Amino acid sequence: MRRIRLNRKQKIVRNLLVCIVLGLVVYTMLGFPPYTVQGMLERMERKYLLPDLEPILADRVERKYSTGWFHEIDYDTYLLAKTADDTYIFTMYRRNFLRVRADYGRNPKIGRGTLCTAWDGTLYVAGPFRDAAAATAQVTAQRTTQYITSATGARETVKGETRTFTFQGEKQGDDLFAFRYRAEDHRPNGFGEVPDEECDLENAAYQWYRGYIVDLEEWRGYSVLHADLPVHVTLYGEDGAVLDTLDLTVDTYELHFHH
Amino acid sequence: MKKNFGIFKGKNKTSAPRENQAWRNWCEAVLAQVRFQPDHPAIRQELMAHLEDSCADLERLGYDRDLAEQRALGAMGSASLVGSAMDRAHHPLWGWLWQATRILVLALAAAAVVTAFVVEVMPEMVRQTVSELQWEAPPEAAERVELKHATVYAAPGEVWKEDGHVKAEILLWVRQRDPLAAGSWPPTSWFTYRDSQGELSAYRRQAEDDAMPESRYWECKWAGPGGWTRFRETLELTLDAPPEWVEISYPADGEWTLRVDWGSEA
Repeated sequence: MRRIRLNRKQKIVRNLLVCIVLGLVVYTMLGFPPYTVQGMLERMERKYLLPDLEPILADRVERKYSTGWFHEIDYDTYLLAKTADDTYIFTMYRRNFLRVRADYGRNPKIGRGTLCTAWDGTLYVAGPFRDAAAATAQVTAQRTTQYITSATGARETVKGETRTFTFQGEKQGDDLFAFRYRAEDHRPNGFGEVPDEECDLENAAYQWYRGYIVDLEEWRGYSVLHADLPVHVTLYGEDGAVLDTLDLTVDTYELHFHH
Repeated sequence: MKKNFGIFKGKNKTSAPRENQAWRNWCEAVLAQVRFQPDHPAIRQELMAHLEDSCADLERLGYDRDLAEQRALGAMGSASLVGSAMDRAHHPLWGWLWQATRILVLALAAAAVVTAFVVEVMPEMVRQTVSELQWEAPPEAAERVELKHATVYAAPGEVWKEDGHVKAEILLWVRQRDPLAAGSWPPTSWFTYRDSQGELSAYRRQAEDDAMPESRYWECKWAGPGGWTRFRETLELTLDAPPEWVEISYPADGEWTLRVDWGSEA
């Protein structure tokens, strides 16, 4: 069979066609990963069966680390979006080179009418806040210790002191208030106990919620409990009058967990 | 007209290249006109091969070596004209574009190999494809809701008694319209399940008493395997009495609702 000789322009066209095919193969093998906020919203619509999502907040965080062999960078995109009928969703996507994974290490959160979530030292409350000019949030933490008997699965929960943290909100568009809860002089969790009087909300969410296994002598550690902390939000109008109040919750892990 | 004399003659089939300064100078003069540097070695080789072939032809016609070399060079014409034609044929734009596409092809081929064998997606792709092909469509009687990106189906399953409770199955199907969310499970755990007595709990520790529910709860009994666009799941309800109907709504208080009806037979 006679070999077809291609000129340079034909070779370019051939190579571009091969590129398109290979690109589609790679993209399919990676599971159609989204690389833009719009692409992520389209995946969220399908995954969570929610139509026509509009972004309220898209925050991209870069995380560098070493695997021992390579220095790698993860790009985390935190997304808060809403549907036309005020269903709110919060989720995150992690991109590592070409691969993108949804909800990696963090559960999504869906709410009707309002949604309260937190990451990286800021509490976010989303809702139809067009008429609200200002807002405050009161988050109440209660020292909770759980004693677990592993043999029987029995759990004894002891509740202790409570502390309410109050934050002033910053309006970010018609649908969002942000409340910065990480103190200026915040001491990171996991590097020794922070004295109670120096605890901010992030510290309290971490070290006030502990679980101990009581019947395992060799197990001296503790677990950090999940707990829903009540969040009381007060919305104010332009004239300073109270427009509305909301009673929401936020999980302790949302408040203190870092990826 | 050239004579072959029955001897095989082909490009690059002549004797070993000879060191001819005049040829080399002529080639360099041609190459000076060609802007696309990466093609220079190939052009030089091609020109030298032409000269060698012409020279060999002339030698076969009885020319002595030196004269054949001169005549062969003379037949090639002006280095400037040849160089200008060569530059048009090897234009830098097309040259660099061609090189770029070659690198792109190699990079994408490497990415495909790495993705297939290092990221180990092939087993998952095969599993998804098999599941897609084996997916059994929901029965005609199944309730369904058409959404923007998917259709959700629900149908009543078996009802039986076990450990003093009534167990009932709900069969769920989800068919996505495109595969963009392939590998993601539909959010059935976010659905709200409600019967005539109220909302059913998920089978997990309850916030009020930190205990697992003893009755009136739902749990996923069987899921998948999921395909590229098609998913199947069976939920098991644990109730105090046989169900007549269960309403499934999502999100939370219900943008849409599906009703699963067992009727009075259950």
